[in-house]
Amino acid sequence: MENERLAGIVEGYRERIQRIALFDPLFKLDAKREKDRQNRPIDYFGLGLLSLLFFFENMLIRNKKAGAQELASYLLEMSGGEIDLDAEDFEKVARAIIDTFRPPSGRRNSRSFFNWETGQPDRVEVSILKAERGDLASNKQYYSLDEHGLELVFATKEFFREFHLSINQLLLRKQLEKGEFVGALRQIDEMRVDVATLKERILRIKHEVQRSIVSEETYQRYKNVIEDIHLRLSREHEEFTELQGFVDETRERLLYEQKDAREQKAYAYILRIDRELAEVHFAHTQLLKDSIALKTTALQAAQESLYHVALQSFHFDQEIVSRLISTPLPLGAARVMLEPFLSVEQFSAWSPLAVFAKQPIGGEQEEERQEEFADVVDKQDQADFQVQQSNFGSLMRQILKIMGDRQEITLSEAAASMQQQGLAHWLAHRSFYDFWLLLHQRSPLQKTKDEEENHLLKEVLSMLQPGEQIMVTELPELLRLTERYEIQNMRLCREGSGYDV
Amino acid sequence: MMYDNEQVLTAFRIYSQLSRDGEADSESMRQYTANDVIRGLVDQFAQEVDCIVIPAGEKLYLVPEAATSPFHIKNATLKKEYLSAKAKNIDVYMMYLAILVLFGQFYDSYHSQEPTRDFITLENWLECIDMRIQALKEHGTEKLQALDAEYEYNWSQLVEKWDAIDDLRESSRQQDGRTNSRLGFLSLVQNFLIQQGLVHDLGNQELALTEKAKTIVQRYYMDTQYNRGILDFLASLEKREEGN
Repeated sequence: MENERLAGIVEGYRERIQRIALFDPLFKLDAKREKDRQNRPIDYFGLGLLSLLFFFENMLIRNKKAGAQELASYLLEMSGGEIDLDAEDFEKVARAIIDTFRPPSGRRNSRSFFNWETGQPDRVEVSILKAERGDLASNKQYYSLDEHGLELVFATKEFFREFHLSINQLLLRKQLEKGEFVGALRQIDEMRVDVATLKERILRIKHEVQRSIVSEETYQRYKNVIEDIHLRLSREHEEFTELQGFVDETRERLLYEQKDAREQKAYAYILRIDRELAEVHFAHTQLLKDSIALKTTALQAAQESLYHVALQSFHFDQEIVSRLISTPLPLGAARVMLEPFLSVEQFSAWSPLAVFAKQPIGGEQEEERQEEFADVVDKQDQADFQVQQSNFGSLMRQILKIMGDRQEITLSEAAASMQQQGLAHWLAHRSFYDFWLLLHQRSPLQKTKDEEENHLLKEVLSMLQPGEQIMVTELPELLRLTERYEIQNMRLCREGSGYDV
Repeated sequence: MMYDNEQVLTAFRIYSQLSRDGEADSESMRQYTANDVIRGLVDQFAQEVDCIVIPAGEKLYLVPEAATSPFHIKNATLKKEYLSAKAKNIDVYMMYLAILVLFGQFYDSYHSQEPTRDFITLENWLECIDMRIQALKEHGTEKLQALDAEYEYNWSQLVEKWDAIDDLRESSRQQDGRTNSRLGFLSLVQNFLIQQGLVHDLGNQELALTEKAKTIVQRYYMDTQYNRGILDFLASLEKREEGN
């Protein structure tokens, strides 16, 4: 399941690049270094965007006759003397822009890239303008926006982030209806990000309310903002509840349809969707509560303080620091200026009865604590923990096998023979390094009867003979076994082993 | 006016919380705003130790007034708690200057009540302090020494002190409070500010202001009621300088 999610990250990679590539021609224009007659650089980027809008407008009013000359006269009119060029120059500019949007070679603008989804080199093409029809008699060409041109125009239009969450909810519903569960999980993750963003926003507004409500006007503004947020949250909340209901229904339906492997997998997915959606929903509900609290307490408190606050902007650097230095004022003034940031002097009393209070005794207790094995309390970590436990077990088994009858082995030797035996994948895994570090930390390691049942080295210990000890000592050199990991070389010794006795 | 015993105690409880932590929770805030008698009492208590109480959102803050007061934290306490064992009074004043410069960097506009930056790097901060000290030097040693004669601690000492230590001590690997370098000094000041709850460390040697610091600046320094006092105080000192 996790792999599918990882693959899901780069899903639609090409489409994303395509969308980014839309902007390429604009930046190509931006790179042009031409100057007008007053030697000021021409803002090609802006003119490019204006041209797009020009063609878009002409499409809206169904004017098919939009060519280079028309564009030039539009640009001339728009520039209003801001760019000092004559009509002829503007025609050149217009042609340059059209050529950038629609290369005269006939080959489309394109961008080559490595597609991380398919793992192959790929390329996208962008076609912004297309020739509508030619007027052969006067040798003129007219243009209109091509598909990507339209997309670019829409992409520059404001997209209300307020509706992100609602849109995601809508998409989620569609995906659930179609049974695209992997996509649905991703959608839920995006919703989680939306909720987190919202949360930050509410916190920021809360702080602003506390600090900067200074007039009836700002109070009203914040009040409106907070009410808007609240309305939006309640609307989203309803949608969440419905979605949750929908997921429940789907789950029940799937429960009775679990026949083959595919359906079982779908059921596993819907369970996970159910859980994650509930989490996001919970976070969102929390936000709704926050917004209610914000509406009542914070706003009220702010209104309260409205009566006795008259703020003015205060140039701290200028008013205090500069004056202090430039006059210069007595040094003591620095202290006075800083006073509000400091605290009140505290008198700390000591009672003779404190002698009888609980005394922390260091030393022995602390040392004792260190000998205990790391305890795992968290239920969630339990699974990871068991995996790690068995990893360590199999590592130890391998190492004991390599050691055979020998009494000691170094990390580098162990690693080398593991590579020979085709176990190199172990070296790329973090457990291998954790294993050595933990052994070193626990060294000397021996089997004791009253050891706790549950610790990471349980399986390792079970392989030792009674009375046998494992000592791990550091060696000077650093080993670099894989690209990713570096570790100090170590020596592992078996001491007082069973067959010595 | 007769006070109810219960009310006096509640007010005192709020005040003692304020004086211990510098701020009080939303429960105290509720009592403070809801009850005029309690509010009046807490305000009076604060007034007695030359402080004011600022309600901001869900918290109450106890803010010492910008004036010399025996109730405010003593230089000696600051030295003992936050600076190194060898610290002298001049170190404390250097710290004050450093903190003022820091806040100056966050609030340096007449057009906005919000901080003009999100964070400051230690290096940046160091440069700004250095710039101010260089400006001090331009007054000339003589003038500074003349001022020295007049007050107990003064600028020429501060300038000397600053010049005597390096930006960083290359021989030591870590530039912390124990290192005798400018950065080491700044890290002491930084620790002080963090413990006072005024800045928080973003890592990568970047510092940002906390809500508490922002509230104090906006509700004290920017409040007409109080900043008139600050400006008057500075103006009176300036006048005295000119008189000399």
